[in-house]
Amino acid sequence: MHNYYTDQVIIIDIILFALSVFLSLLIILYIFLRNRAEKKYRHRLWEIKKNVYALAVSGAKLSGKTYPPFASNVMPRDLLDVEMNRARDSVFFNAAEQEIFRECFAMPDKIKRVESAALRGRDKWQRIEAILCLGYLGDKSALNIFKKTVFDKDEDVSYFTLMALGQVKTVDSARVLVDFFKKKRTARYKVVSVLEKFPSEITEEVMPLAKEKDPDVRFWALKLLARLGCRRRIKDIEKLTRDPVDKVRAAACECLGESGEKESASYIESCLADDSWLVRASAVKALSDLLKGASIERVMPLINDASLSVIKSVKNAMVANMESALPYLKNILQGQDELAKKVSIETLGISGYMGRLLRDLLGSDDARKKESRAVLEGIVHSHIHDGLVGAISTFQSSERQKILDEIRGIDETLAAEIKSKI
Amino acid sequence: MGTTLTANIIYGAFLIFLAYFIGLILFYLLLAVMGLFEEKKRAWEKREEDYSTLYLSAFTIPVSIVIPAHNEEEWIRDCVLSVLNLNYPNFEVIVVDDGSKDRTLHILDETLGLYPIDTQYVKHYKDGQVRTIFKSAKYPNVKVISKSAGLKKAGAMNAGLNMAESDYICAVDADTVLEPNALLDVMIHVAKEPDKVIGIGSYFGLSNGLTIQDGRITKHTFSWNPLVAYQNVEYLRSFFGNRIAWSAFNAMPTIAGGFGVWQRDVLYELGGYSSEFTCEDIELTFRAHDYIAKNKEKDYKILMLPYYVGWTEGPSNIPSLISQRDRWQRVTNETIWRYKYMLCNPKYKSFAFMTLPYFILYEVFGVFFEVASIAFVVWGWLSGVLDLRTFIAFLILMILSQTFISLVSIFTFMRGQKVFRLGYVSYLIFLSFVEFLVYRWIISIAKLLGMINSIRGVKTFDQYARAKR
Repeated sequence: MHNYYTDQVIIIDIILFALSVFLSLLIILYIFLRNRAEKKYRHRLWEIKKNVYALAVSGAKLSGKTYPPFASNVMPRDLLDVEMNRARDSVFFNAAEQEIFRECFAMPDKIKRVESAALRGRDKWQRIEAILCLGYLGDKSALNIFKKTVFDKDEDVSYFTLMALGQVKTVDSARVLVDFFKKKRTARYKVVSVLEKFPSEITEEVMPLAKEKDPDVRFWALKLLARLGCRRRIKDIEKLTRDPVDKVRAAACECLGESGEKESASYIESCLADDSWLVRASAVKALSDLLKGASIERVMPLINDASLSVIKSVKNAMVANMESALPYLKNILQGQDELAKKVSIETLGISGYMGRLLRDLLGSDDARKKESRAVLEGIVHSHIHDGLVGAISTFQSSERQKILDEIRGIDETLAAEIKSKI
Repeated sequence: MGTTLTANIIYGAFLIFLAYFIGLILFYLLLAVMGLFEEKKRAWEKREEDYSTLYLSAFTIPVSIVIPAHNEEEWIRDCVLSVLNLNYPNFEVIVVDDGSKDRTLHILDETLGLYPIDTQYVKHYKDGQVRTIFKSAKYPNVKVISKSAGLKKAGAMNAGLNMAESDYICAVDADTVLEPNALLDVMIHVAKEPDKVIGIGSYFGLSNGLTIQDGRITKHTFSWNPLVAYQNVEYLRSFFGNRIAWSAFNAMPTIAGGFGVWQRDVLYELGGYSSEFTCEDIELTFRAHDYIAKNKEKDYKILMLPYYVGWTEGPSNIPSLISQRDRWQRVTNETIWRYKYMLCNPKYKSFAFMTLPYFILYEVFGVFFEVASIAFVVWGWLSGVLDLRTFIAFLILMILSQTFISLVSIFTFMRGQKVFRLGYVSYLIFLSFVEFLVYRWIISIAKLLGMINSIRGVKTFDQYARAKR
């Protein structure tokens, strides 16, 4: 008699059934409770604005009709997120309202009440209310409060403190944000997006982060410094072009490129041979930003790089410095490297040089005519979609005919094709 | 003698099927629990970062969004408008009209105000014959490529890739409507690790039933059509039951073509999309694992996120569903067969030891196990070898194994996402208990058809009939 393990299968069935029923009920209960909590949360945020108004106008209660109708339809965080409100007709605290608040809160005893609520409010929403007020008022003396509340174990208090600090925009508030940035691993992108809107005076606060052990911290510090400017501490950033982490090296190149310090070019140049596409692409862009036309000679060898991103950077460098790039492009068109030729033609098209080339063909300068003819030959023989139809279409009928005659001398079939398309 | 032989065959088969289902339950349970932890981690990350305000950050990376379209007159307008409504500061859109015979191009012209341009670009990938390139007069960051059909969706994608300028490519199906934060949700992970993340996808569900106006979803009202609702359960099971977990081990088998972001250089290295296969998305992801193995010192990652980024049109009747699943089965078989050398190959790490065995046992041969197990237990019961108690116990095991996994997936999803209302979730829960009775068999028929067509070498991409909006 075979054993079909029926009893064991039944036990498994019972367990599975019990778990399934339990999970079903858990899901339903979870959603129900979450919906209730969200409603409450939204209501509390809505109340914040009413109370702030009331406080600002010395306790007068305003009717519900005063408030913008959008507020009841947005997600809770959007309500207080001034950046998201930018596109709406009336923001949560627009510039005019902020001005009113500053005037109303100019009295010391009012500020004291708000500060006290921020630190010691019994209800967390009261605290958030107060923290936001202090932020919107740009109250510099509130920084000692923000230093504590940004690390509050309640994530809402912490988050809204971050927003408030983002409103203050001073070196001291940046210092608090930098400290938060170091300790709060998961919110780094958020902190950086707040700090990037600060004035460049905060550079000294950000600079030490570039020496931190955590590569993520170094990375974001460099990205931020690239925005803020880092001329005074160039030597420290130059060392980071040899960092063991790819994205840090790339960010270091970006930073040096933005710095405007030409002496850093050699450090960036050493990254052109990096094994990471990210670093090479960054280095090309940085050199182009720094040295302009003088960068072309250094970046041109990467025109047929294995990475399209690097090639794109080289293309952009050439387009931005077309006069310097032209002699190199002409040589490439005479050469054998198919990819390099194709990229060169793409560059000629994007930069608008195609039109100039055709004008030179029609001109009276024989030397330029000869040169243009040679370039045109290279373009025609490359067999990429060369944009000639578009370029030729901009000329008058008689000029078009002359250009087509030149092309016919190189490739009759192409000339006929272009003529049929014009 | 005959009776003994029958009993032995049934017994042997029973043990095999029992082992299969219990193994499947345990494996799925493991994936589901890992998925739960991974979802929790991602939800916490998202809460901490609060992506909505990152929209204005200068650190967001430019993206080229490629939308291949073939006879998509019903959906293309909403798709394109939803893309243009994205909360993302820097992106270009390339719509590829792949030889549509309907009004797709006409609708694109009406929506975008197109004019033809003659532009230079290098053709890195095989894309068939490009007829005309248009630019949008209303939206300067939008281009439309009109090409003749012939290389399936892969050819259309490659045409878009050839024109793309950004370092990252986002593929979006033309019948997909994106949520405004779709790109932001996904690209932030790229921005944090630009040297490591090469591919990234996220959950998307079915748009059937949604109220959509000018590309904006005004009401998230999901379809109560049981066929569509079952598909929602399936999508949840697929994304939250296993893909999220695989992502944690860098063992993702598919970045779906409906929405997925790839690093352009990786696509370049891989040679773009391949038209050799019935569909292009799963095969590309497998090829990307080859790339990861080749560059193992770089620690590349392919991620799957638990955020809902968009909604795609799903089949709403049985023939359409069967047609779609037939195609999916074919492409799974084609891909597994092509990349069979990866199975249990240490070079491919978790992908080789975790994902591929699952794919082969469940996705490829699973339909045989299911159908055969039912056939054998019914035979056993009818022939008196199996008693009724054993028969019912085994059937219940088959039913509840799927139910439980569906419920874990629904729970994982609902923990972090707030898009399904309580009523609809309750409906999905109910359907999870009865899925095995009807829906499962439709899918089994489709999979069997897919297996047969695979063997016959069918590779067509038959577009199933979709309900009009």
